[in-house]
Amino acid sequence: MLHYRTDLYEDPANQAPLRKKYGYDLLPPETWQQVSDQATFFTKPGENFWGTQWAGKDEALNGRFMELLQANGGDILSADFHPIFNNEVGVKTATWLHDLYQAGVLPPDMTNYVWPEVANNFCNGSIAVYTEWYGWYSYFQDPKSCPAVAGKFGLVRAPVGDAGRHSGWAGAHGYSIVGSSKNKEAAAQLIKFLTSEFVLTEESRQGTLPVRDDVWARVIADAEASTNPLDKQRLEIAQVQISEDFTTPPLISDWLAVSNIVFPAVQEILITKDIDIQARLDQAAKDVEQLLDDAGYYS
Amino acid sequence: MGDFEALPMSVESVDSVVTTSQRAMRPKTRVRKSGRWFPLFLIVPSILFILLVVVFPLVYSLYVSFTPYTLLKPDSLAIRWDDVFRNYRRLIEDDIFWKAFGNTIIYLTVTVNLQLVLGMGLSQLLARVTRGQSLLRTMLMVPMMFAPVLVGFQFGWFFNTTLGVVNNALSDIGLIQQPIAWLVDVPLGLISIMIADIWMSTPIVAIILLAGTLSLSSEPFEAAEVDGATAWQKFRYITYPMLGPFITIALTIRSLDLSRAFDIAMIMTGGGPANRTELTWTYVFKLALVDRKFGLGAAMSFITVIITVGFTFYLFRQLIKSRVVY
Repeated sequence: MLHYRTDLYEDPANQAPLRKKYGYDLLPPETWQQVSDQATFFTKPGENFWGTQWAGKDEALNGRFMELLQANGGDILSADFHPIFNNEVGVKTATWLHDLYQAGVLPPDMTNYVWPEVANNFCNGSIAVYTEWYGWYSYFQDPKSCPAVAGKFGLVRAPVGDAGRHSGWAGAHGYSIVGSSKNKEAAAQLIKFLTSEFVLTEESRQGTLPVRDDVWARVIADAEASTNPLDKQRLEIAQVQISEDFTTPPLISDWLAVSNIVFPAVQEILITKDIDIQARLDQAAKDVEQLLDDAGYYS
Repeated sequence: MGDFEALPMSVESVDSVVTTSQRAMRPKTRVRKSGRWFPLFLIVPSILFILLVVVFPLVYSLYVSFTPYTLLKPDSLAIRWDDVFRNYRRLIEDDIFWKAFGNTIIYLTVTVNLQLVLGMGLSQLLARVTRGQSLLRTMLMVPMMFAPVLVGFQFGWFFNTTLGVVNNALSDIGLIQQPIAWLVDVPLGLISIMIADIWMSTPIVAIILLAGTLSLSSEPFEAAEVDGATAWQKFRYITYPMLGPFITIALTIRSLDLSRAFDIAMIMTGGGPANRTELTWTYVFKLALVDRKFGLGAAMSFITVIITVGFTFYLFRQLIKSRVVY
């Protein structure tokens, strides 16, 4: 979900100039275009302050690229597992990322970030607006861990792209019992316990999202009692996103190998000033095609 | 008695011992057999062990390098006879492989040389210290005590653009206006990794050279002093040449270490962004262990090992050639 700094968005010193520059009121962004406008507006590189950011390597970057593609009406792979990220939508999305990085709106070493670095940057007060996991919420709200942003940020549903679709790259952790298990009954008991209302309620209080409806009802009811209305808003946004926006990557065993071809290409497009974006995506698509062909997806 | 005496000797000598003394008591064939096989029998365990842990994996991985083996598909562990050299051909056509290889050569050459120069300087300074030398020596060794992975994390944070101590220090003293992307820009990425390695491993070089310096006999120095040699002349014409063997040892250890560089680079940049700081072993790791393409990974390991051995061989030929023997 999108995290934004309320102290910046509610500051009249920012509201008027932004309206003048882009012709709309300074409100949390609803489209990715607004994200790039506002992020560009807020960036102050000399003061160690950037408009927005993403995790910039590994599956973390590939997943963000995938959700942006999907919001714009594209995808990494087609339904029959052929690479399509080098089509028109892919080039447009990659160009959008390239332009943001080259304009200095993203932190220059973003391509080395994974989750801790991204969260630290926001916690440190160096980022205006970005999409983030739900789980950091209690950390960000704690004045002891994040004095720069605690109580000074808001949350909204992830923005929509050209296709009018909200981005939402997600996955859930599941439990399984292996076939060779010696005591399947005990394993099943354990899973029942771990997914019980009691355990999931306790876990949700630490910040993770529940998977049971009864726990949802309970944590939302609990949040209603909170003095901070954002506690409840967060859960309501999450519930909407889970039911409407969330997409998992294709559930194939070669996904990470695909990801390891795509993300270096996206990195190169980000950090290279003069680059033929279409050619670089074509090359990555060719490599993905070869990989999946070798793995027997097309035969 | 006779058996034991015969053991270390050749078959002929066993024969002669037997012929001259006790032929009638012991049949010739039995002595010859046990004399020949017993020593071999004694080393069977170690041979089996070496076969098991060295030869078998080597031959097996050579076989794997000719197959399209991926861990998730056990059936792929078979050579495709229509295209046997597929993995090798793909690697030779792979730009990233050559980039990783070039980076490794640059990384090795620059780092080893800087470590040698800095290590030499430190060792000469330390050799002059008269009080508290052992304390200084211990302090010098502190960087060696850290696990390379921790050094990688530590320097990764140092060079972080937004929160890192390096950029903050540089901008506080007004040297930079815009933050520097240490781990992203070319060639700063590779340089940052080199700095981490130099910090960690220069002490090893310094300690070896210090041991060498302290072991030199004092006569040549006294003679040079009498002849009025300057400090630089003493270093250039006495210390440096006499330290030759120690320099070779330090260079050997560091070159071999650096040619398998992996941990620090993996933590600091992961070979990225966009393969800019890729080293051979970070690339092998990605191919074999992340993408699970064991066949391709094995092929790349073989190419790398062969080229590294060739390069090392060449390096030491040149090194030995350039050394003056005293």
